[in-house]
Amino acid sequence: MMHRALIFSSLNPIYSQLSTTKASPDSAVFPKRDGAWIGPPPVFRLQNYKRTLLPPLCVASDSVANQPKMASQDEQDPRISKISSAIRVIPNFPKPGIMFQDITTLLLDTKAFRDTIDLFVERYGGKDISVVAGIEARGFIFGPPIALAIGAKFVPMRKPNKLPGEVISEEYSLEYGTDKMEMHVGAVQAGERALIIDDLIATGGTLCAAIKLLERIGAHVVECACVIELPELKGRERLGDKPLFVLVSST
Amino acid sequence: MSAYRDKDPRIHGIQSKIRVVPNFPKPAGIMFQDITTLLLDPKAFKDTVDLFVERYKGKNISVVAGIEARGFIFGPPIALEIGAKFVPLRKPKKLPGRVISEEYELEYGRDCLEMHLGAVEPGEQALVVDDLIATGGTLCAAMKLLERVGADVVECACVIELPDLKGRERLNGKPLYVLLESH
Repeated sequence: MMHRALIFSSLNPIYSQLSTTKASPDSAVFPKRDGAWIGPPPVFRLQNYKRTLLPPLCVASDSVANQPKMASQDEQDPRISKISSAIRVIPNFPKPGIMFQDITTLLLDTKAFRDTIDLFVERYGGKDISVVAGIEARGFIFGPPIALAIGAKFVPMRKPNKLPGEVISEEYSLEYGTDKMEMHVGAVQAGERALIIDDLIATGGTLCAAIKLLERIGAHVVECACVIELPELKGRERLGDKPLFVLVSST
Repeated sequence: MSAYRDKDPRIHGIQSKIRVVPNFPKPAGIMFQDITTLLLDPKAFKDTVDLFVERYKGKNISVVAGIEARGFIFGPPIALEIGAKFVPLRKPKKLPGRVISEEYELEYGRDCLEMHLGAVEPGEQALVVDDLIATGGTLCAAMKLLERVGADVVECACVIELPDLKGRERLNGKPLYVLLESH
């Protein structure tokens, strides 16, 4: 039974309560390591913490409270329901038993596509994010418009042998076997703050590989962002301490 | 037509950001035009999109079709700015649901491009976007898909053209607009 619930609102009331001096809940995104504040990365001068802090994900996204009931208690951004209804579900693709979440119908609805991008841009604009990494191929559709709007560079994360020149690779597990994800050497510098974008998070394997690639070269992954989450596949847990932001949750 | 020839002042910045990688994907002299370095420069990437948007905004174009995968990078920002829908044209078996397919020739063998049925209505005005035109085979297949559903392909738009490969001639008289040429 398809049930779409809003995970949270982009106009998160918690944000305005955020203090720069108190310790924030673990789900908040801030430059912190081993319990202590770390200094700003050498290249980017951060004027004040508030600008770099992202609002903590609201209660419904905590793994303990990840119930549809909790999610529906949150205030719903009015744009979300149109976005959700623009997504088409195709049964038995690519294999029997899989209900495929097809975002191409969202791309045909100019207002809903615009709203999707706006929701991400509103969250990430002005937060000193200099890298938007998009996962091939549907991450290439959502990543660049976000990158352009927030003034970040776009870095494609690709299947093997697609990127020319020097790359680094990260292997990850599939249901049967493994696959590899690649990123260009030199695209991202150590200390840069990065976002990872894909259309959907299922098991989290691909996103996890993308996080590793960015961390291996010393970037700080601020958050993973997807249009859709399939919470039953527990991808969120596979991201470890990395926060996940989604617009639509589909069970 | 090309912005290169029109000498728009933004062109030089865009051109300088494109990296040429020799012998990729195969040895034997292919000089691969790598646009990923352009994407690392927010201003140059924005200028690239702006040049297309300035050309196509207000021209009643309701469809921007982008060719997998690098056409997915340039197509959506253009579509969003001009108020058109974005239609991905994909390799076989990637699009779920009902599709139409168009086969085309490669140097060795054949490949296939697919589009969703129902994505484009008859009479819609469409743009086809890709990062580069080489022989024109892929763009030609893309145009055929759109024409088969009754759309009118207004123009093909690419960042780079390799004029020596004469792709322009393969477009059956459809106009081609590029920002840069590489010989």
